[in-house]
Amino acid sequence: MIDPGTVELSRLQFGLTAMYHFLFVPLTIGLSVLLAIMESVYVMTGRTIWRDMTRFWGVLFGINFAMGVATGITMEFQFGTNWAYYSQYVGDIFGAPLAIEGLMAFFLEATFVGLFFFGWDKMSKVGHLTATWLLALGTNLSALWILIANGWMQHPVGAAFNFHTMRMEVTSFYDVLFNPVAQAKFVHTVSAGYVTGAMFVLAISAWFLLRGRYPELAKRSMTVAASFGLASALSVVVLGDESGYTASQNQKMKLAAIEADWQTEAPPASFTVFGFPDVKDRTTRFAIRVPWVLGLIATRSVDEEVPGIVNLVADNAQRIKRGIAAYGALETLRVHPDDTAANAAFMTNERNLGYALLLKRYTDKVVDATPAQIEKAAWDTVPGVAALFWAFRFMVAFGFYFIALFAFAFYLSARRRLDRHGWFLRLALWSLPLPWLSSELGWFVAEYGRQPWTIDGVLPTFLSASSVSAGTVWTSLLGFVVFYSALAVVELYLMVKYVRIGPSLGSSAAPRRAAPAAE
Amino acid sequence: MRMRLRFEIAFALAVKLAALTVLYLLFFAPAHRPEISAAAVAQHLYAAPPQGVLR
Repeated sequence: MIDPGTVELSRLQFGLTAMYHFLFVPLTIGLSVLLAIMESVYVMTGRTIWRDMTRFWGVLFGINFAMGVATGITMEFQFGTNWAYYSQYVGDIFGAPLAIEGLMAFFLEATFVGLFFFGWDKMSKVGHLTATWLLALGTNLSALWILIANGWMQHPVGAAFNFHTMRMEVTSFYDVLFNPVAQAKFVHTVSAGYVTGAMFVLAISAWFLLRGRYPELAKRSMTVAASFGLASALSVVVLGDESGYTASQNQKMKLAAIEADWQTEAPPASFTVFGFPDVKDRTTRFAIRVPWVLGLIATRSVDEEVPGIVNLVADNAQRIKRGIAAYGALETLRVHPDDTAANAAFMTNERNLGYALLLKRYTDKVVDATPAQIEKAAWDTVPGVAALFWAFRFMVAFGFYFIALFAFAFYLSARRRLDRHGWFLRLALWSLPLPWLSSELGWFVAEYGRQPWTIDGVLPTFLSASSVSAGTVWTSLLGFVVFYSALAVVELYLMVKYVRIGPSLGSSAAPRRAAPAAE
Repeated sequence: MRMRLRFEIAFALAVKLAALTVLYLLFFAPAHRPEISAAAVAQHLYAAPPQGVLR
């Protein structure tokens, strides 16, 4: 028996732990590459200030890595306990990239973290630089494997349902690996991590300049952050466009919900810049639309339609009906596994089996579902339109803001005027939380937009959760909140403390103090 | 400074590991995990309906 409260609590618990874990991840991804770039300059030029920079930002990287490591393992705890049906149904596929991530990427990352911190005086310059680049590689590979697993949840390719074992099984690991959704998500997510790392360096360097501390180190750090951040922010937008395109091919309902696109327009579809989605009346009020833009972005053509929510619901009602045929055939096959007619009917409609499972909310006899129940289940395939509409727009707005900020920083850096404008330094400092906010919004759009599925089109969320009691999930959720809140306080305390202490300029001749930046 | 930082990180890691272990033992150890088999999945997805989720 499934308690709906347990399902919602399990979702809340998983969502909170995933979003908390992702506070650490983008900074680790971004800073690891920035460290490698700074150390490369040190090795190429021999100027010790670059070594000091690498070591200073390395300390902050280390704090973030230490506080963040293992915060994601709690999600794996939850798979077995709160999401047992999900784990049994798709664990053979979903578990493989997670295991590879642990064995290959995390071990690589963890090994080279050790060499990075303890190898400065024990390794050659080039040897240490190699370790730093391998650390960055391991960090990025971790993201790759996790996003392959997540990409499969969004677009389950290379797998088929085996009714003998009642599980999804891999048919092509190549397809799982090169899933276009996973690849698009990987490059988009990693670029967002680079933006986070660049903003972190830019903001803290701006703080140093505002206080007149370590000006040479801060200006060089800002120069690296500005150029790397600009390239990354541009990449996020371009690669985000690729994510949008893959959604238009594979997750049409998610795209329609993000755009609050209720009815299919004549191509090319217009893009709604602003508006208030009205779910009840299935319309968007006070909409400001730009002609053609959505059609061009989503289909990369001028003559392809972007289906609207109402039209997709009608399509999904048909898929539910075909799913009922698969469900009926499966019931026969469970009793008579050699029934060729049932086998043929199942094979014909297997792709829609998941849609029939949506009816389990409304009836115990799926094959006898009424038209009203089918319509209700078809409307269940629409995720929360208003939340997705706004979350996406804020994320995109932040993305364009980052481009403008890094472009201006790059311009100032090229003119050697980074410390001339106090307002810009303060703006850079205040912008520090924004990459985290936009990353979390991005995850919200990706995961909330996947609802009502855990595996898109295959397994509904409400059937994925275990039959554990709501009380147990409440208690463990409370435990997580207390644990993660304490961890966040420690992280912030250590970060602020070691930023205030500043770098050790052991061997560089750079001054520790200068006049504070001009107002 | 570096020794101090190492101590602080090591201490935070130790406390974190302990807290994670406690959370695991209290809520997620094998004893808390439902036993799920192919038959249980079949029953859950394809036989009796989940109750209490009608809306």
